Amino acid sequence: MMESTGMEIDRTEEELYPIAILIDELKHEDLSFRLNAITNLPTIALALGEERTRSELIPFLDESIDDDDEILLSLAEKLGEFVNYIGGPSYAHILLRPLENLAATEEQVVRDKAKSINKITDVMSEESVEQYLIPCIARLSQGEWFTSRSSAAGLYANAYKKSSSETQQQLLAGYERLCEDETPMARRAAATHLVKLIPNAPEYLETFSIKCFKKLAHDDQDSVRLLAVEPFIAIGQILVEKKAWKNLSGKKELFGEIIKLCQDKSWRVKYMAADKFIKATSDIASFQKQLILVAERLLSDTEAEVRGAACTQIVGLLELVSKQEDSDIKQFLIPIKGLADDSIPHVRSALAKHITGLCSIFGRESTMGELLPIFISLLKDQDPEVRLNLISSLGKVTEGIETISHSLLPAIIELAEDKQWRVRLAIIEYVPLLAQQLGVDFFNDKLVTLCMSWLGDPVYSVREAATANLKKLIDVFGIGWAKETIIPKILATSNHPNYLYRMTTVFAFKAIAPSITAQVVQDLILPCLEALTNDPIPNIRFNVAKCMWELVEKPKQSDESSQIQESFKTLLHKLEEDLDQDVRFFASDSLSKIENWQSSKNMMPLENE
Amino acid sequence: MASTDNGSNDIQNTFAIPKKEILTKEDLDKFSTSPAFEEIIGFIRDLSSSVEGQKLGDADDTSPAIEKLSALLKSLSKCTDDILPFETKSRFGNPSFRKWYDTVKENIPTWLDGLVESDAIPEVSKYLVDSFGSRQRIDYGTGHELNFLAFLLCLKKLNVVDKSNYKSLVLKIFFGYIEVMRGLQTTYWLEPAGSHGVWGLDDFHFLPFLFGAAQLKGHKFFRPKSIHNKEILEEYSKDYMYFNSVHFVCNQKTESLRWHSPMLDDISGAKTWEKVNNGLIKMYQAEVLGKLPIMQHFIFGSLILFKGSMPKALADSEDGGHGDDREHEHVYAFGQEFPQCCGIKIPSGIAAASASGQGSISSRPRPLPFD
Amino acid sequence: MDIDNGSSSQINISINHLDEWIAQLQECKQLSEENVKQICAKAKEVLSQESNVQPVRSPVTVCGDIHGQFHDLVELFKIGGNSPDTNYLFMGDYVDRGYYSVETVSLLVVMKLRYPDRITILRGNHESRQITQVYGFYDECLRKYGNAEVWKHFTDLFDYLPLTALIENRIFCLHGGLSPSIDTLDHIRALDRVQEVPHEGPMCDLLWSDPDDRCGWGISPRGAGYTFGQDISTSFNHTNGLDLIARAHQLVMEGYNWSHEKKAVTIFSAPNYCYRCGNQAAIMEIDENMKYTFLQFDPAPRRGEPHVTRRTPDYFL
Repeated sequence: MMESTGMEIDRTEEELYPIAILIDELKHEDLSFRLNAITNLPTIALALGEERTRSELIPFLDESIDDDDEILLSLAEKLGEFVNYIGGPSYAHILLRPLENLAATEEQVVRDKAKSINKITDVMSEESVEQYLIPCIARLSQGEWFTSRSSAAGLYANAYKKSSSETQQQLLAGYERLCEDETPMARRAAATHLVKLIPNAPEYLETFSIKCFKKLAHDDQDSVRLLAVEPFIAIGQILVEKKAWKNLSGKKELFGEIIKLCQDKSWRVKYMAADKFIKATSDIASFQKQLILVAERLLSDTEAEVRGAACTQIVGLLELVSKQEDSDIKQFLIPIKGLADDSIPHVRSALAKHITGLCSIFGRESTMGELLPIFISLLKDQDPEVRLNLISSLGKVTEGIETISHSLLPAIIELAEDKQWRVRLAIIEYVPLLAQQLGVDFFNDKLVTLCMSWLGDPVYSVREAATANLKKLIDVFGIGWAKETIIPKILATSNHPNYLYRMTTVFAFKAIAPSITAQVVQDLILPCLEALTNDPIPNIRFNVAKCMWELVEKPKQSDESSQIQESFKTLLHKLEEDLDQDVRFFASDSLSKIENWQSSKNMMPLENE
Repeated sequence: MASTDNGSNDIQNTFAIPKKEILTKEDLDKFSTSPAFEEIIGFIRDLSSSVEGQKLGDADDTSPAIEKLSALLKSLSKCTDDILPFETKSRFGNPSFRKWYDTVKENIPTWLDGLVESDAIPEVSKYLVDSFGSRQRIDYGTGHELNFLAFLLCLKKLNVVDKSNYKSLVLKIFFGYIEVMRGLQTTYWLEPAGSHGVWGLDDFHFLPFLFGAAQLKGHKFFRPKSIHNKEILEEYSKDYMYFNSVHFVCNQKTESLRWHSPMLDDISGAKTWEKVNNGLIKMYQAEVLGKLPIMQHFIFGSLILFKGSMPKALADSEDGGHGDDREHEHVYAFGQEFPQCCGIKIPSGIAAASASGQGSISSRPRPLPFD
Repeated sequence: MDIDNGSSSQINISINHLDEWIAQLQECKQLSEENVKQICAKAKEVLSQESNVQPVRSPVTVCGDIHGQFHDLVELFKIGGNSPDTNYLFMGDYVDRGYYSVETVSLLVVMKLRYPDRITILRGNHESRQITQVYGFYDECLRKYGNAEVWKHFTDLFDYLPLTALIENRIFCLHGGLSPSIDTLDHIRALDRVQEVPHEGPMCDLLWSDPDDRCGWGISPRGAGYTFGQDISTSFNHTNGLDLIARAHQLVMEGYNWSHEKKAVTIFSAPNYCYRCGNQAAIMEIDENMKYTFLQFDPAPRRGEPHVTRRTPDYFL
């Protein structure tokens, strides 16, 4: 497809391209030259023609293999796309040789890219797979260094699809050997890629897939065992597709393996098992009862990391349980309550993030009766992250939000006063969302004061977020609301004795500018700004100057607009005479911006006429 | 500090208590062309080539000297196990280190008994004691590491060990010493002495990288870039000192290698381990043996012999309790002299100080203050 | 001092350039060698107009050591507000040890050029040729620019940094501490500061000394400067009509630390110093009524890999 588009057309031109130079570039001392040459390989190939590319360029690339990873990476990528330059699929095997070398290099990313062998495999005929690819995989699989053996693992799945049944047997035998390689690196690669091979060989589920899974699950390195969880999932999927669970002879034993992984001596393995628990088990209907027991155990595992990972599975788990006929989701309330009181904050935090997802499973009555008390206890948690996580997931609480609002408020207030400023910042960011959920009455009643108090936070970034929050609230509740409630409160801050807080007044005007009207600027903001042009602190005065431009450009225009512009210009002219050079600079800057803007506005109707 | 073994300047037979000899740039220049310099760097080269292609586990030497030295290292580790750090919230050097230091200093003559002829023990043990860091500052740097090398060199010169022992001397004894030092660094939170921050090779060590690169020379598969491969670090740290050292640093610090050790990252761009090994030898000559802030603390006796211009009073003061000389040990590591471009102008401040009676010592060269 | 005022200046850098460079440096991208040369030359001009005891108006936010911890400097601005909106006074030690000394000191210098009235930068003991060669800045410049020119430009500029500042004649700010050779601020004003930090003497002491619990003068364990007791601070403040000595130079776990019955305060603005000390950092906000507030902060959350390409050192080629 590539050659039929565009490239043919350039051909005559490309033939004139000095190939010798490009070849020289491939040998150049400077990395950027070589890299450039690799990028231009398709051009060289086109100019050489398919035959010379096969007989000259590819062997050249193979022999003069570079030692710089960047080059190798780029080369591996290009070779994967090279089939069409060497005469199409029937010659694809020619690319295997250089790629095989690349697959043996040490650099992981190069090896990963060398798996573009798989792309080539896909277009190769079955004969040439047998003739060229299988020996290549065999060589890599027996490579002296673990790098080639690790790379080999990634090539089996695609080759398998294109092989005769006899060769398939050989491939599976070869793969089994990789699963028991002497280095954990190659075994890990084998475990990782097994997932792709399993679905290709459903007929050898017991004699190959389950056998390999067991080998990996029994590995003496936990870094290998933890990778056995994914192949197990793949096996489960095949069994479900084939509806073969019931007839599987060793099912108890197989099931025992995943339970063992869930109870592994290494927490990393248990973590992986807990983290993938639902996926690993949801299809295995006939074992659900026992799995639920295992899950309960993971929820109260001795390792905090495992409990935390299990928390992330809690919604899926209870969905599973709720589908069981004779089971009761309420049996999980005890371990869940236990997690809400966990001694490790990280675990409670994970629970708080996911627990609100249970509302839809529990239904209104149980949510009100059983879950809300847990929410409330999490809202009172000593760790701010736990509270934040619960608040951030309140969107999933479909029933009874009003019931917990009385607990919500103290939680928000406490977070708003947290000693970590990033916590304060985070809660501010949830406020517009809560505003929507809780409605204007509750908001006016309880939260407006809080929102305004953030303007006086000692940390600049919190004050900045507070001004952005005001803009979002205006977008939620409307300009009418703003005029009544928050703008008068902003105006009141302009008398603060500390310049940093008077500056916040100015920043707040700037922040809300896009959400207000020119009329609001004229009626409420202009008098305040005018007063601030006489502030004793130059920093206030030059920020007033900067703000004026924003208040011209951003608000919705109305009849008042031109009047405001003129008032601002007068004030800015005055500031241009200020004693402070920074005030003078920003006054002139705003003034010229306003004037340019005015003239461009005036130009537009003229053009229309 | 009470001095138990070398308070007097007794010279028994031909042996001598080692003392400082380098104070000025001129001393350093003289040293850099001296037989002592050649002897040290030659010793490093010989040790380095003795471990080429060898794994840590390949040291199979069971000669009495190596056995005795191994026992000494065990005794040192036992002291670390026995002497618990003070309970403290501070992350700074733990004062229990001083107890460790004093205990070790007291026992070293006994531990060396039978290994080194008794007349030589005061001279040899001085290097060994000085190789564990600064008692007062509770810190450690490449200068201290150099003292351990000097200790090994003394053993060679006393014919306690010969070339046939070199492989084990590096893979067993020197690496054992590094492990003792890591124990001290992690137990008592030794501070890095005069570290270049993130821009140094390592907070504490140099030679394990140099010898470690020699081990990897000519390896069929490992390249200098291998240090970025976590699997390799994990799997091969038990075999190769270089990987072992990188692995240790990565485990001690939170951010990635590129953040905390840009120098190691840069070196990983070298083409071959041979280049790394040769480069580290060159770098050691320039950045350790060629740096005044480090070498002004190095001591010379009868076995490693060099005479500089240092006034006797100064040379003798290094073990004293007070101020000056101990303090500036903090500028160990790759301190540099002024390049040609930036000679210091004679500060008018010195004149002012002289006028107000503060300038009594300003006429002599002074070591660099720390921090 | 007025950079708009071309009459006394020999070097002109446009405001647009300065704004561009500030934006570039705020992304932690170093300036070119040529630009560093320009800013250093211009900054010499600007700083040479400043006094050894540079007068500073309140309101101002006072900061201590930064030591190349660029991301923590960005965090500092997130806490205290951006320049020029907030006025700043930095008390030295911008370089050494951290990963980004070059970017840190470049940013502060360019800010000084762009807003000379909004920011004051003093000299710390690490703003010295000798010290930067041992503690990393020299290595960093060599590494990032391939030669020592940038290091030379900056260290030549450091000679011009003011030694001390005086806020509204009441708060005396400097990097280190007092000197036995100095009784009055006029003594300091009389020093010839344009030189490498000497090994001893009054100029050295201002950058090296530390307050101590013991009375009188003491020998500093650092090997330079002195330790000074409460009696010394009290009498110095009395003689010079001062309320407070604000200084940096020492790591303090809480980021700030009172001493000498609130006659002196130490401010340290490099959190988790050297990636391992676990200390908080702090800044001192002084408002227009001379009321002060300390703001403490923790290290900035870090991300990704440094964007410096690998360069094999010459030894290994």
